Amino acid sequence: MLEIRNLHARAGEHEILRGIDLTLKPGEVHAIMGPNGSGKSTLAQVLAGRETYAVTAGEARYLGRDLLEMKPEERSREGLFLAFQYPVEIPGVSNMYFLRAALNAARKQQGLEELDAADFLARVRDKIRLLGMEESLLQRSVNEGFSGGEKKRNEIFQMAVLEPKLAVLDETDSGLDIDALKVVAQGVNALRDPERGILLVTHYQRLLNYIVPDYVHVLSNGRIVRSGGKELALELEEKGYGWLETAAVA
Amino acid sequence: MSTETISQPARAEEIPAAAAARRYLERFAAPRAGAAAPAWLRARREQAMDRFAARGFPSQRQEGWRHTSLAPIVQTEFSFAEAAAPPAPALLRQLERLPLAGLGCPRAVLLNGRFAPEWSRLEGLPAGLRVTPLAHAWREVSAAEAHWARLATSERHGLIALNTALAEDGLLIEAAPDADLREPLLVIYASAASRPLAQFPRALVLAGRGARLALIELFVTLDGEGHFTDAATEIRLDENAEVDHYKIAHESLSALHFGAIEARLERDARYRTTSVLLGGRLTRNETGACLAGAGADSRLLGLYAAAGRQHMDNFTRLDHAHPHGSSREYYKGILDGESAGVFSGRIIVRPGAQRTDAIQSNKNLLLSESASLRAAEPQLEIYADDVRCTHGATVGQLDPEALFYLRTRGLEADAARRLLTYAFANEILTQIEIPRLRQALENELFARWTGTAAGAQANAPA
Ligand SMILES: Nc1ncnc2c1ncn2[C@@H]1O[C@H](COP(=O)(O)OP(=O)(O)OP(=O)(O)O)[C@@H](O)[C@H]1O
Ligand SMILES: [Mg+2]
Repeated sequence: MLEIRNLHARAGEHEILRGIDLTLKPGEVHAIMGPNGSGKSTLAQVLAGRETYAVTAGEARYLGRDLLEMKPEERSREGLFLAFQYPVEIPGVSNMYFLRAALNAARKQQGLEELDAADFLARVRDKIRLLGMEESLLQRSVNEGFSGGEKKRNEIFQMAVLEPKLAVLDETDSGLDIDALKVVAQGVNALRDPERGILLVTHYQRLLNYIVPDYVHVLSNGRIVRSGGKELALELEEKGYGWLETAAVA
Repeated sequence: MSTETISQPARAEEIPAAAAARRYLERFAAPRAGAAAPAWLRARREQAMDRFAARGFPSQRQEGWRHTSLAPIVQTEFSFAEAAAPPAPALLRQLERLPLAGLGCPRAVLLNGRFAPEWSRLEGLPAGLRVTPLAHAWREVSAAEAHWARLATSERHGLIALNTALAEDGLLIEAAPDADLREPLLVIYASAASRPLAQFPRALVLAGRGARLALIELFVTLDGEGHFTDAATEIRLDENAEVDHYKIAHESLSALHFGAIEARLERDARYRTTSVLLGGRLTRNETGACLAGAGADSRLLGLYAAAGRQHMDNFTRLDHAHPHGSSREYYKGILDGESAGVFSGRIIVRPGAQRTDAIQSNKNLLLSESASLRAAEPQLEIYADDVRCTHGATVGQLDPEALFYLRTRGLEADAARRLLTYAFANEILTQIEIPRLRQALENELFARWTGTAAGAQANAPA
């Protein structure tokens, strides 16, 4: 459902992605690991349509379409979801309104009726519970004053409500304690489905104990330097990223 | 939000005040309708007119006026409202249709600066609240003589002098000591005329010791283009009184609006005022508060949303005269099209006003390249040493991160922009403590910026 070929992207003069190849089929979970600054978030943001990054070469196809031609909102409505590494605070817009607007945008796309506030609440209640969130978080402004953990849960909650076809999770595990991590993993696993793809960007192997990936890729300096099965994550954990960087140069 | 340097604009030519003033002098000399004014009132009016004759309109050379030219006011030949004939029913229906007029609370309506009993709903006022037309109060209520035109004085500048000299009527609003009047009183200043008209409405509010009063002042245009409103509201808060005051300026886009609010707070009094500027081609909104007793607390909130060629100027003055006073100023502006916004504030901390805590903040959102904002450096006059006084002004655009975030959740770029604009304003709206007023304004602004009437749920509980 996602095919990335030789993708290059830069921010200003700085080339960040330097030839990424990746194919993700429905039902698969791919993990992307890599050291700080290797380009993981850039890849995630480029997939979501962030205009700060200029794609200078290569292509990305999503569900058979040219992904790079689509506006961010189109990608979203076609079922692509990005959970941000740093979710954005939006003072003055309630989480509830925000989510309902998002869900209604997707529903409109699918030719479904828009939901009013009451219907919406009824539909999202059990998802709130699944993620162990306080219902009061819905009343508050989007991410404003949320703790790090609350922000991450809020991302997963949005994902659970929007039920995307392809979810890209950018370090959703970072900054979570082990209990919160389990809750988030549970939220992601609940979404696993033969029709759905998941791209997990993470810095730590720990998450992969709870969300077991089919493939692991290591990103270093804008390239995938190694791909393998879930064992690769364990190997990385043991030997550190330094091992691969030397291996890549060799 | 990013901050950028604010450039200094060129000064416009000064208008010869004497020529412009003649019309008003003639008007002043003409016989007035109604019963004869008491001597004290005549004296105060004359003094005001002398003052106006001597000084004319404020010019851009004056401190605090640099960014606002009164040329559209000075250069127009306004007519004056004659004694009220009963207003036309069609106009009343129009008034009733205004979402803000139907707040369901007691209301006093002034039409072209004169009290309109047919349109007011003052039966069954709560105990402790008295509303008297000034034309009557001037003659009959001794408090009027004691307090009228004592805060918004002619000394300030020509526009206040002109109002003082030419006000034909207005309201005296009295809240008895310890009265709980949190159910708001709505005052509507409506303008309706076939020719451009000048009106000089005036209100004097006396909140007795320990009284709590909520007051909404709404300025609207029912008919006619290009009128000039020159308004003044004086509010005295006795010890420990609390007044929650709102000014909503929603006149037509060709209206010229000047309004002065002057409050005086005795010991432990709490005054909160929120200005929402939406209409008008040229608006100058002045808000002054004098903290004249220890422990007084004053909060000035403002929201100004201009588009097209609107010009909105907010000027504030906080005068801390006693220790332990605190003042907060928070003004937000949204400027679209070729509109211009101005914010300037003066903070005075007098000798002995120790432990004063004054915070001033002004944030602006520029939605177009041609919109501009002039935020003057605050004028700080601090004559006490143990004080905290902070200020800050920002001008920025919509946060691109937030825009992108919304778009990744499926919102169209344009819808995302509008939602963020509404959200920017909403920070002020959520602080409105009268639910019906808040709702009405949220609906109004939500529709303005999102183009839907789907209800202002952007930040309302579901
Ligand atoms: N908008 C930008 N402008 C300039 N440089 C950028 C921009 N965004 C990212 N970079 C740079 O590109 C490199 C990759 O950044 P990216 O955020 O993709 O890394 P990451 O792998 O997600 O790192 P982390 O593990 O810290 O989240 C870094 O050197 C970063 O400083
Ligand atoms: Mg990252």
